[in-house]
Amino acid sequence: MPTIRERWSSRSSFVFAAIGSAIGLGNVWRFPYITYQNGGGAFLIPYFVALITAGIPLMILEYYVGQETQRAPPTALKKIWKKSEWIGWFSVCLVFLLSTYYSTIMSWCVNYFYQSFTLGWGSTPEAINNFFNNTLLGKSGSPGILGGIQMPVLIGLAITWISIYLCLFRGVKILGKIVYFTVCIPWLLLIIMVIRGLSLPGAIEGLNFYLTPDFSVLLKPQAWLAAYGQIFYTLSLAMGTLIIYASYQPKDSDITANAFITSLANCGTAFLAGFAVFSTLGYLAQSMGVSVPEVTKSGLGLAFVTYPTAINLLPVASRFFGAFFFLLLLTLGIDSAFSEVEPVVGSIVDKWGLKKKWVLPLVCIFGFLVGILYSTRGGFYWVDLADHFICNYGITLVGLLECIVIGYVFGARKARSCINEVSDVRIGPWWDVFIKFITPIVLGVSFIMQLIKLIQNGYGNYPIWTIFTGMGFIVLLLILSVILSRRKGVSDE
Amino acid sequence: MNRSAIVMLIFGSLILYGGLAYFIFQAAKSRHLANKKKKRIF
Repeated sequence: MPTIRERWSSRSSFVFAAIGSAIGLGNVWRFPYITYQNGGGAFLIPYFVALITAGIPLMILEYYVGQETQRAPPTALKKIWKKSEWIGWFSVCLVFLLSTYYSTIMSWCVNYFYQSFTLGWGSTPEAINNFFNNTLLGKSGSPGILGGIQMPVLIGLAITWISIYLCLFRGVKILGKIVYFTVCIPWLLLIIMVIRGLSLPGAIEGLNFYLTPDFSVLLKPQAWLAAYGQIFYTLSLAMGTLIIYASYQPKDSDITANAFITSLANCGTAFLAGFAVFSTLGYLAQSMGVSVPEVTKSGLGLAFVTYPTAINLLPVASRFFGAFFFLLLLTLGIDSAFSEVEPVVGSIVDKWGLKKKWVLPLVCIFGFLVGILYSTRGGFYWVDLADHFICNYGITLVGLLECIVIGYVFGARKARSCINEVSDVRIGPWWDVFIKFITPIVLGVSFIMQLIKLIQNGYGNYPIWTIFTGMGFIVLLLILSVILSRRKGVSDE
Repeated sequence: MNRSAIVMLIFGSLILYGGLAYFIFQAAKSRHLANKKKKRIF
């Protein structure tokens, strides 16, 4: 007997869930830095071009696949083209691994949130650096030396996985209500952080570094590739999340406007986050008597070293704003974290007809167990390596294959007419061009360039065996995906 | 803030927040029309 598919309680629940999935930690610590590094305000031009020519078309495509098939990624792609089920499994395997290290980064945020009440990370930049690298992570110096488990990280990891389980276990109806909080609270916190940042001395100097355009970068291919890369990862594309979320929508729901709202809300949040980050960096630079570029960092360094340094220097309520910042990261990250688990659970449930109430805890426990690797003293390096290989090679490959399947095998024109049938805002033939040519070419070029760079220079200062392990793992996941796609499921019987 | 930074601030805000407002308005309008249709049927 066919089971009734779960449904979002309203259109806004779905849109909020998709926005929550897209808005993550990268909006705060990646976008502002990439903008600054690639010509400041001028970067907005390639960024918007990438959004229109790749981000939104691919998001429309994923919404269409999920909504039309009413299935999780593997079975959805199988319905589109029988031979493409493995692509869905490949994306599911990748997103599961992504969730295991993403939850570890969340665990670091949990620890910092706890420390923010006492400013326990130290008072000088050196002390904060020491707190992050030695006290919290206990870095071993090499990925080959795992060392012991760092208990605070492991406890934070357990808290993160329990939170993921609690958000998902009551199904999408309750999830639809949770996302209102996990999306609106970070927006509110971000606005407070922006106001606070702008009121600090030196803030304007920071914003000048963020937005002053250098139009010469428009002639550099690196800036364009950075824009396409940023758009691709920030919108949670090719991870299976958007397909599974859209599969809980009724078949006649609007697609195009939802895709535009989701992507613009995500990019708008990243743009706003830049004001919070650069106004604070401007203040930090002025307080330390150095220039803004000297304190500007990206990623983990920005969140876990630079920002706490700035928080320490705040004239009033530094503990309060410290807690605010890490609560912002936690609320930003949690909806991305559970959106990475949902495609895994949904795919298993859809393929083998198992009960979600059994699959979800097993996936969470397994995710936690894998996360123990990242909680070791060598874990930091494995987080970095996993992120590099999964995002730059795995997910890019999935995006490329999705475009080929829909654009050439299924037919972009056919898909477009189905999308226009249910959408208020109609899309024209430009969508076919983007799906068939622009997006696959950009993803293909990006994939090849990353591969050439890896072969020529390796990655970071890591030993060569870690490169083989990373690439070997991607190949292993490909083989596993093919095996999973060949297993009989309930839909084959 | 220097003038070119302000121009980019306005440019970015117009596209991102203006675009968002437009599509939210479209979604709200279609919902309003759908509700009207339902009322006519029943």
